[in-house]
Amino acid sequence: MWVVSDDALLDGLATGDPDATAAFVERFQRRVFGVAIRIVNDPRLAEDVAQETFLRAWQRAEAFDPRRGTVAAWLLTIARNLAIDTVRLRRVVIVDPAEILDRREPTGERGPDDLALLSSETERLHAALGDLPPDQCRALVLAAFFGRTAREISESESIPLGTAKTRIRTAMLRLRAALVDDTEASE
Amino acid sequence: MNDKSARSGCVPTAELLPELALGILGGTERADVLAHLDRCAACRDESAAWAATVDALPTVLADQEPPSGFEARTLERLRADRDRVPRRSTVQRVLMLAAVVAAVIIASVAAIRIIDARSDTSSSTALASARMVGNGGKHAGNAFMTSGSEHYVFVDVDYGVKTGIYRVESVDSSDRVTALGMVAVTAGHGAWAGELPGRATVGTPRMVRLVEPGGEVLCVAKFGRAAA
Repeated sequence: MWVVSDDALLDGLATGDPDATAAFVERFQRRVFGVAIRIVNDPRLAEDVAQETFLRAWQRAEAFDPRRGTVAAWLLTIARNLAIDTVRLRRVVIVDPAEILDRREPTGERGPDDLALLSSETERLHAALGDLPPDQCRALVLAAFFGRTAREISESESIPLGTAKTRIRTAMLRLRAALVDDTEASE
Repeated sequence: MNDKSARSGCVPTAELLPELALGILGGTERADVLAHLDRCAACRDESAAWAATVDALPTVLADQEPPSGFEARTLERLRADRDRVPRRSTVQRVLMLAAVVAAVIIASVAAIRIIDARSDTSSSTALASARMVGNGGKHAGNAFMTSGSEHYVFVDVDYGVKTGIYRVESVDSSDRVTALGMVAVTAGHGAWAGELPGRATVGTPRMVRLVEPGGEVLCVAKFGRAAA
């Protein structure tokens, strides 16, 4: 079966094509809502974040650069940033950082670009996250998905500031190494 | 700044680049890192690599079926926005409010300073805003500036700008250019706030702009006469 690429759908969204817009929302709504609900932990706020994400995608579609990453990564980064802004401004109660990484089988349609991503980058990131010591993983999740600074993490975890910084940096080094391995393996 | 002095800051900068990419670095550390990135191409490349790592992170979060009717409501919002219907979401209102609050805080500081310095005058401070526009007229964010005898600027960059470190500049009515500071844009998002130098060295700004390390102007916010 022929499947329209993510890039083509984004082009259609940018031009205001109704069919492409509907297909774009249908393809990515579960992923965007998944990012939003896991960070803001509130269905109403998550829907607002998710809707805002699609609005931003339409408004900023021309700025998307395929050389810098996939449409999915670009779109989910928009969702992440909006969700973090919401958490910061609304003082949302943070869920257990371990729960945010709970894995489930993907639902709904995925484009060919997304399927390729899942088979490589995302799998390696999942593996790298799973291999992290729990304290590093927790520090990374608090920083990456809840926008917590090293100082805030040191206070909430009752650890020295230097330890919080080290945990974040070490975790990030391992994730980056996983992505670099991925890039090299695909070449 | 020569290569040797630039390299001298690479080690401490490298330690902080992950936090910068995550958007959680603040205060003097952030200022020091941005100042170093402005003069070190190697660390800018390293910063971009960290940004790519952060951009990949949301892909690990699991899908979730949105509430019933989500797709229809989202498409309706997109249609309404395209039709220029002035509807804003709760999130957008909160984010806009945050930007305005930040700008008002800047304005308040300016007003207090003016009052303190010239208690015998009736000098007042007002706030002007302008859209930042990039190539092809693309919206890139917003800039706010207080008017009066002192100027404070707040720049909020949005998703039309690629990841990178940019110089914030003001241009006055005599086309004099003043470098105000550096702003880091990660995943299309970044903000900068600061005070313009005194009028002895800088005239009333007519525009604020972001400039790439190579000197290319990325986007511009033009202020009208009301900002003068």
